[in-house]
Amino acid sequence: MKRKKGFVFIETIIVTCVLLTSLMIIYAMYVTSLNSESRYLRYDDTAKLYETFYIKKYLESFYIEDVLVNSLKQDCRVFSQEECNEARTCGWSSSTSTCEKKEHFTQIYQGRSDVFGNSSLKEMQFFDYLWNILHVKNIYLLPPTITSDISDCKNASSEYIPICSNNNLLTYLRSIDINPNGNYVIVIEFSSSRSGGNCNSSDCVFYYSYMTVGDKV
Amino acid sequence: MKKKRGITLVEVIISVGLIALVMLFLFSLLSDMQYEENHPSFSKTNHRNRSLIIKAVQEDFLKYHLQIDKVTMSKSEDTVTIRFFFEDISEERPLIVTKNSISYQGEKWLLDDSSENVFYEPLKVDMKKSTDTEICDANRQNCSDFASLKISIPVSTSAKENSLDDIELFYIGRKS
Repeated sequence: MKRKKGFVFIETIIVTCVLLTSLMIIYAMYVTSLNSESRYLRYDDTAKLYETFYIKKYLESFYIEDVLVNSLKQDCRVFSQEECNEARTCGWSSSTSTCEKKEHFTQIYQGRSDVFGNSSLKEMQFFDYLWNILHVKNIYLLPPTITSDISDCKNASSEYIPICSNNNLLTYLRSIDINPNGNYVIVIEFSSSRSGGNCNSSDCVFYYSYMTVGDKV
Repeated sequence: MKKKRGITLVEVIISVGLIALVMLFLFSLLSDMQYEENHPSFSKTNHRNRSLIIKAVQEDFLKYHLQIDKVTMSKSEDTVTIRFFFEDISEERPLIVTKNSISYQGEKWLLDDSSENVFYEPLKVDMKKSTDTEICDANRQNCSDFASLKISIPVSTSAKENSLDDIELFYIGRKS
C-alpha cells in the first residue's frame, strides 16, 4: 500500500485560512488605531480653543449663555400648567398632569430664532458669519453630567437622541473628562473640508473643542 | 514496514514559506508605523511652534485690545507683514511670515527642516475682517457693534489633511 506523505490539501487550506483571518484582524486593529489617532488630532486644537473662547465670550457678553443655562436648570416639577407652558425647557404632560423636563441641553446653530427672538436677523447673520469664516456647525450647551448621561446611549432618555445619533460628537464627549459637579459646558462642532474650506456632506471632517461656562482664561 | 516519524521536507518548506509571508506582511506594517513616527509630514517641533505662535499673538489680542480697523497686511516677494495695532498700549506689533519662519515680538520660530517639502505660503496668507456686526442680547435691550478678524497662514505639507497645520488667528470684540 502506498503511504501518504506530507499533508493533505484540506490541511493547507485550513492553516492558510486561520493565518489570513489572524492577519485581517491585526490589520483591522491597526487601521482602527490609526483612524482614532488622526481623529484625536482634531480634538481641542490650539487655534480652535481660542475660537471657542471668543464665541463663549461673545455669548457671555450678552448673557445669552446665562439665559440658556438658567432655563436648562429650571426645576419643572414646581410649575403650574400655565408656568410650564411658558418655560422653554419644560412641557406639560396631560397623562400625569405634571410639568416635565423636556430639554436637558441646548443646541445653538444657524438660524436658531427661538434663542435670539423674532427680530434677530443680525444675530442670524452673525452665525452665518461664524459658519462661513470659522466653519462652526453647532454649538452645544451641555450639562456637567453629560458623560454619565451618554454612557449608555441605548437606554438614555430621549432628550439625548440628537447627541447619541451623532457618532463624531459622541466619540469626542467620551474622550473628555468633565467634572460632573462643575458648570455647564459649551462644546463647539466645527466642520470643514480636509483643506480647511467649506465642505459638502461627503468631504466633511469634524473638529471639536469645549470650555466650561464661567471659567476665566 | 518502517513507520513515518516527524514531518516531511515538503511540510517544513510550506510552513517556512507561510511564516515568511506573515512575517513579511507584519514587517512592512511595522516599518510603515515606524516611518510615520519618525517622519511625520509636520514634525512635533513644528506643531509645538505652531501652538506657541498662536498663543503669543492671541495673548496680545486678549491683553491689549486689538483695533481691527487698523490691522494692515503688506505682501512683498516671499514675505508678508501683518501689523496689529493695540489700543491699550498704543503700539503696533508686526507679524512677519517668510517661507521658513514666523517672527513676532523679537521671537523667531523656524520651520523644522527635517520634514520634507514643508513651508509656509506667505503669498496665500488670507485676512478677513468684519466690522459691521451689530449684536444684541437675548432681550434686545443692549446692542453693540462687534468686529472680528480671521487670519490664516497656510502651511504646505505632503499630508492629505493639512488644515490642522495652518496657523489660524481669530479675534472678536466690541468695536469701542
